[in-house]
Amino acid sequence: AEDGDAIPEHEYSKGVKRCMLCHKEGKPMAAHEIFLTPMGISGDPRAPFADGNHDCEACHGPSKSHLKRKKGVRPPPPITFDDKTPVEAQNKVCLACHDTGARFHWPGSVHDTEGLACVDCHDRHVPDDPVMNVQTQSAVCFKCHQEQRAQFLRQSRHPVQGTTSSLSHVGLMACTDCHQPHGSAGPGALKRNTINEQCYDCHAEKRGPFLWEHAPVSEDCTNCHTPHGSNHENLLIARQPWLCQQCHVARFHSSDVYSGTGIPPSGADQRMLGKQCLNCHVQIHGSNHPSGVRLTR
Amino acid sequence: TDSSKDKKEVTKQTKKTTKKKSGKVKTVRTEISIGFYSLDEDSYRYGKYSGLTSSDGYVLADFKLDKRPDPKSSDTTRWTFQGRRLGLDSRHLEFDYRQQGTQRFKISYSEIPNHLFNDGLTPFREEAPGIWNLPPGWQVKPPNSTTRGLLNLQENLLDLSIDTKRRRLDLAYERRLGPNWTMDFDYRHETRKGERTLGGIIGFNWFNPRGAILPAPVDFTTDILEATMGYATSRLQLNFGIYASFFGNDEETLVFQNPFARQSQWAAGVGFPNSQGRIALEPDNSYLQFRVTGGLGISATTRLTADVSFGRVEQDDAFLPYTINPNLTVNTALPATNLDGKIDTTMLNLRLTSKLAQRLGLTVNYHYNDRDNKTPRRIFPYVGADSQDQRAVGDGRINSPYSYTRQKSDAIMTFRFSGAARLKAGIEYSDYNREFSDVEDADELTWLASALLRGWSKVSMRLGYRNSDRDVSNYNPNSLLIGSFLPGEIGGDDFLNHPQLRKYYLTDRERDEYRFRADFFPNAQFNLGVSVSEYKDDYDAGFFGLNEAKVTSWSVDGGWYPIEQVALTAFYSNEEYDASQSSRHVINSSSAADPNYNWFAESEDRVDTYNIALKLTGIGADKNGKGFEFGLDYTYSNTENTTRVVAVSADTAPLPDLLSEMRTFSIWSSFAMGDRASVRLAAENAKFESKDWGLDGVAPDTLSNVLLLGQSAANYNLWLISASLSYRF
Repeated sequence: AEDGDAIPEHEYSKGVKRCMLCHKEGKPMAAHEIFLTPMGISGDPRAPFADGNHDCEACHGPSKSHLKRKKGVRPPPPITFDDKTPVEAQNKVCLACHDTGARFHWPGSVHDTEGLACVDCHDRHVPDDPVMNVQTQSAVCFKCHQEQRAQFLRQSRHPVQGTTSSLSHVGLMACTDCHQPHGSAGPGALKRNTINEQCYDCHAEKRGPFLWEHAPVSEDCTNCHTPHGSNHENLLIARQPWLCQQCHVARFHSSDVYSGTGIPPSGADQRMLGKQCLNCHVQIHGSNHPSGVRLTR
Repeated sequence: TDSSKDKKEVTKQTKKTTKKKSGKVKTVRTEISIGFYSLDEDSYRYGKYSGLTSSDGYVLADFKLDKRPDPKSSDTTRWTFQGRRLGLDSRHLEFDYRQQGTQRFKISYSEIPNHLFNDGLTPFREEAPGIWNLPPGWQVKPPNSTTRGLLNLQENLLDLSIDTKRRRLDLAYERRLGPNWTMDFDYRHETRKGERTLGGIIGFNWFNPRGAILPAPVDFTTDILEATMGYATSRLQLNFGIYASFFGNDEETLVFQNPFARQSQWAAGVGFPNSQGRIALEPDNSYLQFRVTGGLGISATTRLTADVSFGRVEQDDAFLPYTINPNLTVNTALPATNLDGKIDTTMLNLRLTSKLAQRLGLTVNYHYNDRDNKTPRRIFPYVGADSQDQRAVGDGRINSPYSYTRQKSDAIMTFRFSGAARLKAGIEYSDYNREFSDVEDADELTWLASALLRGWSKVSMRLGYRNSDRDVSNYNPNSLLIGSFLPGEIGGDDFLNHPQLRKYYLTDRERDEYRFRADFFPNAQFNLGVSVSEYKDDYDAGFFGLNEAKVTSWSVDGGWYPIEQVALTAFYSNEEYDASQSSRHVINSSSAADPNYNWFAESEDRVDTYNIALKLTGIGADKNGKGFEFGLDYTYSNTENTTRVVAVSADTAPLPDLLSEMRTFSIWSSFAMGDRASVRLAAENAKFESKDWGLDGVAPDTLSNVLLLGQSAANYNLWLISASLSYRF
């Protein structure tokens, strides 16, 4: 809007009524539902539809020339939110107003440097932007994040809405419960500063500090867990006991050979059945028991 | 004239979305849906998160009240009051009130169930929360008996369900305090109650543990408060924030009666019926963090952001005694009444972004993350699993409060070609410093490059490559062990893990990552996307531990929209995760040096997933709002894990594959009977089959040493139907 103020008034058309001649319900590129969005609230002096803010042209630029055909072709508005306008120019329009809060870390963020436009994820012409709704958000993210789309359909997963209408995969979490897609100071665009701080938001019992720490746990939950979905229970990256044996080669049982000889009918090894290694090392995330040096208490 | 017709149409369109037929502005829209869900059989696993577990039937109840202001008025008030799945354990209620441009208030309540299984069996009875005892008349066959010596186990087994439920209340308030100041306040109160499973172990020496898997109480409460004050001008933005987390656990211990007869290695008086075991459950903790974030526009093309935070974690729950068993000898008192655990965290993130030229951008980042664990170190002469007398002080262990510092710097350049094509290249350098670790210093160099080819009318492509090389200057495999004993108590050559082990999260590693994505959209009616990616981690050959890990995935997704009323979408995904590791069975110093004790394991996880969905909308729609919608959805996910173990000399046998297969077929239709009412009918067939050698055919007494719960792997094949009536007014 600030940029627009410097543009001569005669460059603008007569506002939304003129736009609605074509962009009406039932027509291609209909935009009539803009009135049901925050953009359409004229009582907010910062909104595009407030008096003097030029309605649709607050975002699309002064579009008087768009009203008339030239040689049978209607010239597009100065700003179109598609490939006709560079992403930077598109995003500049949005960031002119939405530059604080969640957008604080946008410049230089992964989505920024990968050339994403705001409208790649957001639909500002509908009353309920799908990416802002916990039940429809993941479908927007999955458009690019295909690996995660499949991972959320595995038996061990966080309850994010999978790509299915099945009620057994109902969405109780959103991607944005953990991630800040506009960029953050944390890794993987996480909302918190570290992976563990993010996990502790909902799993605070694992924050400790414990008397007996398990160092890879304190350092990074993803040393053993994969957050979106896994073949293995509790979102583990691999099956016990071999997962544990990737870091433990001590005398006797932690370096022993576990194979089909340890399961029925050949045998029954306590590191392969039940909770496997965790049958005994029960407090694997850390123990606060004075006798819990081996994380068994 | 045409012009006057246009003006009439404009008036109609601008008002159509906001007015009722009466002509009054319609600002509050209400929609209520009432109906039912019905399962044809019970299934705990199907309703793991949704709460649809019983064939008794559930009420379907959703509602939404949505108030939006008249666009032509000065009113800026919007609010939404909605509830979803109110008849289920996964219900959600939310009230969101905002005066646009001024303030916003939001309150929500959510429940998240987690139904794990309901076919467990245990002989234990809960005498009080967290205290599990055996039934009267429990009989064991002494001495040195296994689960076979639990003489009346079968007749004393009771059914057991394991589940937890989160209940979460969120409050949020945002207010604009003037042209430059804003305030955000968020508060969350969450409880998590129910049961989980924990092993209760008696006995500690290598060959004599006896234990039981127990239902352990979960009674967690977490309160999180976050408040931020923001100042923003076009050039400078500042945020001052505080984050506070308080975790409380109302169940501090899990106490269980020892079900086994005394073993010969146990101290006298240990064994049924005179001994118990006790596990310390997670202690209360608190975390307080102060955070300042700033952004400064240095020039029209250069911006600097900084994010610095200081935090402290504290934990001072009272220690439990060394043992609950009064028959054991304990000569040395605890060195303190509580841990007095303190961790200071310091984080700094700096980012400079600059547009060096019209098409050339530069981003430079610096991250500093320090975890300074200030918890005191003390020696704990411990008691082995409530079954042995206390160890001598010299045989006790000293805690190792783990600290680390990570620093990472990176520089990324982007170049934008005409249109939307762009190149991106960057380099990262990371430095790790750890305390009480096998590796105290490590660094990692990463370089990356990617390209976005976009701007053609019918196709776009992204491809990227990333290579990281982590280098460890000195790996000390026994320093942590030696440091956990009093000086001189163990020899300098003693080791806990074999000296040739290299832990994967610490050691040298080369990581390669490839990504490719192409999207084709020849017209508005059709789109197709293809993704391929591979991650590969290589570790130094010749060492034990994880040697190689690779994830390869590819997917195809697309949509066909021949007319506005028809949408057909589909996707297929394949992922393979391969890992190989090696080890040596260490029994004594001789075997530790003998390659004949080596063994190797390879693991392959393969996943195939696809979904196809058809949606028809607006069928037979008329101007009175009548119409028909119809949808089909089929989802399939198949996972297989193959683990192969081979040893140089030890006997091995093949392992069966771990399998899980999910098939879900959904069909639904919705009949709109006008502008106000609609009926929705849905049916779903859900089939899940799994095979897990860790659970299948495993009874509570299958293991000799550990009494299990005997639950089975998840399997179900059921139908869900639902019907609902929705009314809008």
